[in-house]
Amino acid sequence: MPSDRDSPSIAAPADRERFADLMEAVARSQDRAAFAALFEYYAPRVKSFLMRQGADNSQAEEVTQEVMVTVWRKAALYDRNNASVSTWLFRIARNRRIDTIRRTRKPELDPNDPMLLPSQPPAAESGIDSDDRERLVRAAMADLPEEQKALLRAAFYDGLTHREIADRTRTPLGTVKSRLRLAFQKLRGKLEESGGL
Amino acid sequence: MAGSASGSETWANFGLSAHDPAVVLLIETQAALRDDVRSVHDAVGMLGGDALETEAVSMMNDNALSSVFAQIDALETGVRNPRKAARHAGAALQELLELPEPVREHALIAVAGAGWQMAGPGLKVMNLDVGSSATVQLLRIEPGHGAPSHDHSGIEHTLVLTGAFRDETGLYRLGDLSTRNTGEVHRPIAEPGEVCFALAVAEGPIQLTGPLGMLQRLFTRH
Repeated sequence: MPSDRDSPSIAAPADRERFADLMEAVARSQDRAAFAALFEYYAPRVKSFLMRQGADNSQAEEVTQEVMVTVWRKAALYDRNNASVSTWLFRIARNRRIDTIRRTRKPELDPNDPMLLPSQPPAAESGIDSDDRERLVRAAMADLPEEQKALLRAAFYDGLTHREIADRTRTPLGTVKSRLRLAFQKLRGKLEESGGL
Repeated sequence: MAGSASGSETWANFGLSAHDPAVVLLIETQAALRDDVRSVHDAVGMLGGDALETEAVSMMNDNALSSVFAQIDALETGVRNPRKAARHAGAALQELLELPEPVREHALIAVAGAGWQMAGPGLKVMNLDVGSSATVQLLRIEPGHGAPSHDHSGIEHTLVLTGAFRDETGLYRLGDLSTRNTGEVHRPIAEPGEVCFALAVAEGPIQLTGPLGMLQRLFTRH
């Protein structure tokens, strides 16, 4: 798949720390300046992601704004020990995109009512220091062959079905399935090796 | 050998996208229940996060940020309804509140809509509308009771959320995923001790056995 030479590069670890700090500021004190900084970085990227998924400019604009509103609303649920802001925010964008093509449902109960929000923080840590954990997982991913990473990206980031991947890469459907299975096995193996499991 | 299936890998049997809400629900709920699945899920998520960082940038409208703040202001002055939430509270709701996210949110929405349906002695079923073509249901099985025999037109995955069940293929506990392939018949029975909540995701509509089910099978036998 062609890459855009002018596209930004992966954020440096220091930037990731900064984004996590900004998210916590939003959660802790509804810090609008912090939110604006996050918006400046993420909104244009979310918009690009949505447009590559098929949204036109105004749809992408609207959904990106909704994603950022959700980021504000759910800021208290962000836990830097669990994932980077990029990962967390991407999941919101992925879910939001799906929401917009569904019938609107009007719940009688508001799941975000403070009375119904979970009283415990998200999934308990296994005991590994969070920095180490991120490093271990990242190291496991780095060892994975680029071809397998590209396959995982196509499935989980672009949301392509196996059939779509097969068509685009002109490989048989069965081959795509077995390569994905292999990629997972490899990944699990690397995680076990590096102690991330 | 039961229970070791991981959602991310077994979804490979579906023709669905990994962005399909039913697939997302299954994978993320299992990741919330099991550390080994969570590590794989986190690794894949990291790939997604990195990919988002390397996206090209598309300019937002000039007034986008102020529009977002306006939406936030509107939300925060919106009317909440704590009394309605309190009215629905009770043991039944408490059970749902203890389920892991993301299935918890869907269950809370569904229970206030169509809600639970009796599906047999000791068995209740609730359809979850996640926006997928797949059938997504929350099952509540009392100890010693079982799900009715399904004859399914497609593959079905069942994730144990609380308690445990046993079927022809073995014992499934918290976070375990049972997969039933086309044409197979499974009769899961909840283990003694605790109510078993499970998340079932299946392609196509469920056809129950019984008079109507038998008729359907006669005409679609392969």
